[in-house]
Amino acid sequence: MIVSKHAAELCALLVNDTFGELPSRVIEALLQRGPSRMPQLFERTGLHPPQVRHGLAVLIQHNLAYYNVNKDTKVTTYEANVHSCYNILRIGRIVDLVGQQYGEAEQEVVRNLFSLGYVQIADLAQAFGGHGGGAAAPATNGNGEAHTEVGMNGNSNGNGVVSNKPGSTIQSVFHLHEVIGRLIQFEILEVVDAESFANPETVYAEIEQEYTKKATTAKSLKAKEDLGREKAGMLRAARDRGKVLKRKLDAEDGFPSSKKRKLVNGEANGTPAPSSTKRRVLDSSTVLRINYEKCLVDLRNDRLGRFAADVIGHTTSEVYRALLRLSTTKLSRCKEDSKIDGAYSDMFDDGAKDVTITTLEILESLDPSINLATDIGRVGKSSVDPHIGDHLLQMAVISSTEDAELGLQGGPVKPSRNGHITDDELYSDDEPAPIKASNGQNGSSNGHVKFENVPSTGEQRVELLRRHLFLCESKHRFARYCGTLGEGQWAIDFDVVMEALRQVELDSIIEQMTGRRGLRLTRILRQFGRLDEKVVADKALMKKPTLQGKMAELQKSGFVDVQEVPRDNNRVANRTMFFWYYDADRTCRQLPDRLYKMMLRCLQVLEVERHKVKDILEFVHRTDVKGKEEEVMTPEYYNKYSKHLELERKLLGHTMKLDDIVAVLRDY
Amino acid sequence: MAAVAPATAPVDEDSKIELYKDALYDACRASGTDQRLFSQQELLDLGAIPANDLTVLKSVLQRLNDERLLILCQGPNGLAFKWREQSEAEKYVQKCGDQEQAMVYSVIDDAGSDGIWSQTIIRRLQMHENVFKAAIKHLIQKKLVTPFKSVEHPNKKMYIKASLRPSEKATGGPWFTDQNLDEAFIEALQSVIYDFIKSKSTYRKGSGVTHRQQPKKGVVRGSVEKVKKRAADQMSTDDPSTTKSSAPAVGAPKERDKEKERDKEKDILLPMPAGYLDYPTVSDIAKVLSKTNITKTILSEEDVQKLIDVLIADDLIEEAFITGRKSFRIVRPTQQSLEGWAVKQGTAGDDIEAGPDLYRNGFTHIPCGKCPVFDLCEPGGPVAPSNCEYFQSWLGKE
Ligand code: SF4
Repeated sequence: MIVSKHAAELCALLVNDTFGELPSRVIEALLQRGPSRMPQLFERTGLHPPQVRHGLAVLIQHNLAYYNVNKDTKVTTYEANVHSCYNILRIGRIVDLVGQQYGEAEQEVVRNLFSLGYVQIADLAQAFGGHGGGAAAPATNGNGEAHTEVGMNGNSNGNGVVSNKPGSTIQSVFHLHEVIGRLIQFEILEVVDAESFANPETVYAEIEQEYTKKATTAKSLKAKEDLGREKAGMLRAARDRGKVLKRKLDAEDGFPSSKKRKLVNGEANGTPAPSSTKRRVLDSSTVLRINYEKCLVDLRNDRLGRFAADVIGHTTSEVYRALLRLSTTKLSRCKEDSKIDGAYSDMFDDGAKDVTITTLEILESLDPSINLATDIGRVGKSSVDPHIGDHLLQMAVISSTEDAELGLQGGPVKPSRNGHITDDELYSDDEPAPIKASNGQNGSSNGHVKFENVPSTGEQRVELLRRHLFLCESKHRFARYCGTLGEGQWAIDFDVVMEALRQVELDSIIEQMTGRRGLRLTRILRQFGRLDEKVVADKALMKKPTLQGKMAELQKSGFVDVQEVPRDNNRVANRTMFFWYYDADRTCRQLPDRLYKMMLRCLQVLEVERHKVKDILEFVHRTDVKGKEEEVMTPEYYNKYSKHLELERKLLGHTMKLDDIVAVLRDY
Repeated sequence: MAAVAPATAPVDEDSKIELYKDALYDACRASGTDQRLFSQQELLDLGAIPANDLTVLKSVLQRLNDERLLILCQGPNGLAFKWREQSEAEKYVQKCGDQEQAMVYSVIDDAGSDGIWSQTIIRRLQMHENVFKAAIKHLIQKKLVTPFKSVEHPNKKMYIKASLRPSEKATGGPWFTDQNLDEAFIEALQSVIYDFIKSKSTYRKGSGVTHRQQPKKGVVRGSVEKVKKRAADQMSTDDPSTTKSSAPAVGAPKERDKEKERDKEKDILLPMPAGYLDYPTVSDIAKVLSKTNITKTILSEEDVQKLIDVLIADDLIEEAFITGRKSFRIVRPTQQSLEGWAVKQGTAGDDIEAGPDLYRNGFTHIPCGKCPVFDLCEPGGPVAPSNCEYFQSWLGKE
């Protein structure tokens, strides 16, 4: 992977912040000079061999570098793992998210794994079991890690690497194993073996090579096909190596409370479900590490949830989050690898394809305290298309009556539902309808139920829920309505939604750099392609001089460009037509690097600021000061210190916001 | 007889033709507007020429043409004729001093309300530039033609008949005032349209509603909260009202505005349910605009659509297709303030960037996002993060 200068610098800085200078110097050399052997590293870093080895050890421990032993020469090559380096930035966020999504105990485990790198279960157990959490973080230098977390969690006190009281969330070894087992099943953790330290790209390439060689010998078409299938299988096996245990656990119905826990979400806290009588123990020698790919899936869900909240509304976004969660339980990564996922995908059924979720499933997993009656405007029944579901499904025959549909689907389907839901409650005027259902719909009873009082808030909840889901459907295609079973089936086309989100982020950047008019012009160009200046002026209703100024500004920022088309062979300016166009490629190429540089500058400024208050920071890191800064320090000093923390939070917070954009443009 | 006839014929013929000419002209006027094209056959069919005598017709047409009462033009099937108003014709005959002037005038006349570029006239008449200049000068003096500027060709010298108003194509339609794009006017219209769509496509709701519902406490709880809220609000509004009483009346309206604002802050706008049928359409919007007194110009639906397209390009509104009906709604309703764009604009003075809230990610929250020396900035260089002034002031240090 070729890394831009700023990306490399950013990674080195992140490593420096978290793991100290030695690893940082080594990773810098690896990033800038590409894969290297040991002697080359000595030379390139200018460090002593023991220092380099130490640095490498830390890097490998944290999966920041790959190594690869050549089969023939037995020479080891080291290579930087850019993604992990960059992901250091997201550690805090991931820890947070795991806490929200899976519970405190899980959060604790993940937090420790982050500070330990890859680790044996036995060691982890010791770290938890023995003496407090402090012991669990030997490898890091603590300092940087803490700071990373400050920005991301917001709950700063600038010290304390891991939570001060891990014992409280993990009660026993059994509990620990249970938590770990669940995390493995969620794919948040993966199992590490000897081959996990090689760059997967290299591994895939080797497999490819091997089969290309074999393919030349294969004669018949059939043999070639078989080889192709075999290769696809190998690639998958190589990729999913860390998930063998997960599959085993899944097959054995592993840790029983997992499903429930996952569904309840958010509210789940560390207490193990008392009902789980089965006590399983994992092999203590299993080595684990964090699986970033799956973490990214969860982070993406979170981002999309925020997106929905911004575009639609709070309650709808909660519903959407539930849908996201259900749709991605089996999804291992955000982006498919065309090499691996593309070929012969029919051979593998990992359940991640074409996931549809029914409204009832969503209802079941939704936090029951969410008030579904909010955040959608209340309007008269006549103002809403009652057959929106049908229209969406493009049911060819409108005349197919409710009865026919009932017959077909063998269950209540939504046209009937929409036809008679209580307009008083759901479309009432101002107050959030007190739930006092005046009609209910009993299962199979069709269309025109009398409006009688069979109070069933459940029915209403389903209807309200459907309303939110349809709203998701109607904007940016957050969700796709794709069936009528279970009160409606829903799917998420991630590429569609992500494209929308990407566009929104880009638009926002363009707007911020060149104003609303700049945005207007780019959007017009994007919609119509290449346009003559006159036409643009007419469409944008802008004055020529203003327009030319904005265009120049946009061109300078690299968003649009101009194409000259001479009308004759003389190529004189006044016989040339100028077409403006939106340069999507260039925009996408340039932006990430610009963002890296911005993040880098942010962190560099932070470093400078830290240097300025070096004395204070050193002081507060003394063990006798930690935790009681306010008492020990003079007010003047303490004031300075808290100001500095404030500043740190601000800088890191904004770095994270930039990462948000990077993630959308690059990773999700 | 035979000898006399030729002698008297010219006189008689002449007056006869004069008669026929008037008859034909009147017949033409009676049977169509001055835009109608008559073919030769149609002229004969008018019955003004005795016995459909072609030679007579020819002389009559010649006469009419000379007197500029008839315009020769290219019809769908060959030659065709249009009649011209007598008063217009007189202009040629009486005001155009010479042949050149008449020719120039006739070209400009033909161009109609779109006007015509001086160079085009010269090219078409194959006239020397100086001759043209003299002719046009005379015509302008006589107030027959007038120079004007077309928005399509702002740098070209254009001429138009003095009695005509330039066409939309030439003036740019309703968006132009004196050939200048009236951006303030457009902005004003946009804000009205936006506010209208906003009011029609969202639902206004007190934000006191909890997103988490608590069982068993329906109405009572809601109303209790409401009462409380209001009480608190009253307390806070009390202060200004006391100051208000002590202050002279001038301050009063302002205070009231503030109160209003505070009331509004509690509400938020909500999206309408999917499949909502009452989002406004172009014609709804056009109707509303015609009722406001921003403009006296009647805006066609096409014009309104143009404004809407710009609002869409600005990412402020979006199209909604519901049951085949194209209508519009605003984007990100819950993020928008309740205040109208128009109101805000009023308070923001000349700031044309005032308007609805757009989504802003963190890009320019830090100084680097808008840094003018971004490309130069390198550690160790003259511009570097270690000596960055933008960051220092952003961090609140000097
Ligand atoms: S650090 Fe300062 S000088 Fe450098 S790019 Fe950022 S704002 Fe500009």
